[in-house]
Amino acid sequence: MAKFNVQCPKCGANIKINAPEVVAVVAPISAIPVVAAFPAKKLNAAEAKIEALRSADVNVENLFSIRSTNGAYEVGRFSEGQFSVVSDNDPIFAAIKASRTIPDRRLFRRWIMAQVFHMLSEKDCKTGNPIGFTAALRRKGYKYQWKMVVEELRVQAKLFNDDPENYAERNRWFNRSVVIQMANDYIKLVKNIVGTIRIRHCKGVPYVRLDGTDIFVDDLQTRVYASLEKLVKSIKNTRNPGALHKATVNFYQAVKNTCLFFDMEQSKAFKDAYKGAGAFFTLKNLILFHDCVFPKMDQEASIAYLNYLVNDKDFEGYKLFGVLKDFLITNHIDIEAKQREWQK
Amino acid sequence: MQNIYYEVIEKVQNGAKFQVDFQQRSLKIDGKYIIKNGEYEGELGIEVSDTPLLTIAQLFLRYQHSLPSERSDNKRYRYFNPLPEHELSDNDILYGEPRETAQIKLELYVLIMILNGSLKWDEFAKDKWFWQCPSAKELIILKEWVEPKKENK
Repeated sequence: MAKFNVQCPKCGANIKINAPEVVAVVAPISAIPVVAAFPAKKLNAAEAKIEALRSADVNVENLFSIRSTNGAYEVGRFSEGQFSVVSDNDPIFAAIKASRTIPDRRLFRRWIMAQVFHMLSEKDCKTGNPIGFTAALRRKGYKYQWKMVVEELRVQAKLFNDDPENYAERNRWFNRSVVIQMANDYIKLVKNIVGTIRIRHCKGVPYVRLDGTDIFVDDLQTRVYASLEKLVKSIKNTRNPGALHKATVNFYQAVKNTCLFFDMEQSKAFKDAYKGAGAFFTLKNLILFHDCVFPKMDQEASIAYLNYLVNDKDFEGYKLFGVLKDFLITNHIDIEAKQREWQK
Repeated sequence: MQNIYYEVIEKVQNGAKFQVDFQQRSLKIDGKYIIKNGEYEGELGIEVSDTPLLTIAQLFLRYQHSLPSERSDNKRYRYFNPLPEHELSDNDILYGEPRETAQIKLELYVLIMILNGSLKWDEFAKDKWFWQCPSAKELIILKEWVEPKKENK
């Protein structure tokens, strides 16, 4: 068996030990962009890797720089009384080299949870009373639903190849059928708007002014509805996430060119998916990183229960949002009290 | 305005754009001057303070750990530097104040302290061209903000 010289990072003592077999490390599920700058000072390869992890706030207490009998430096890990060599193919290092990012499980989609918390506690500026999550979402305006979905689908298109597990979790909520429903709802909205606006006449021919564009009433079908319906068909015909993203971008462009008002009613499908995704990732974050659990369950059972709930495709987003509200109460999370505490 | 400090904060919370200029002693809200060359109508809303630097340091810490957004990131110029997103803790992200609100609270407080004479350069940083807070090293106040050069007046 090969022997390694191990140097303690605290006291600098050298210890000779036998090298056991390489232990695989579980791949992280998410990554945040952090510049992985390897230090310029004279460090050996293993020390440089450990230093890069330390600078990215990764716990390196059980990692050591070790030198084998042939003089090469390796990164070693000491855990549960066992010493193992962390190979260069370890997912942590592979991810750093490939994308210059440091995986950090603690930061797993924490912005979603933050947004849900802030929207849950949003208040009316005049009365000071909480307005509720749905009203807070409505306040973001109609354009927000398209901007948000386009961005979500762009990310999903990337995750489809890089991180299938994460892709599946996100695609459970925002997917092709949601976009189709949003697009159909938009066409209905435009028809309703056209039905309510004043009909003008040009040399006796009726026309309407739709968001600043004059269109003859007889041309509405060909110029407005038919082109939108054609774009809906192109969304229906997509077969992969990249194509779905492109088709959605095209539809959003048509929305901007046709008519787009702040106070248009957001699609029911969007609101449901938004609540579902918000509740799912908030619950997952709370269970994984904030020691919260469902009643009479431990962490593992809570995650399993959450996955069981969302595996049912008919389980709607608003229902999961109700589960989240109960979950916050049973785990004694008072968002407003926490916000007041932060201000101190 | 009856109470410039609180009314301005409320406007910013509701989406108003703002611009504070220490050297010109000015404050603009949605393009309109509320304070211009140190002159204003109504009350500033904050009394003269004996310990302005202490309050400034507290407001700075809140601003530093505040919650960034697309709106705050698009702000062209700011006097003080907040923490980037990846350096914020979970608690900052979950329960923190919106960054633009924290920014107007801090910058307007400094401006008011300059206007009401509470912040006198010679009393806390005589013969220096900048002052660094001992408890929060990132908090720096330049002399030219408090005592602008004559040609800028």
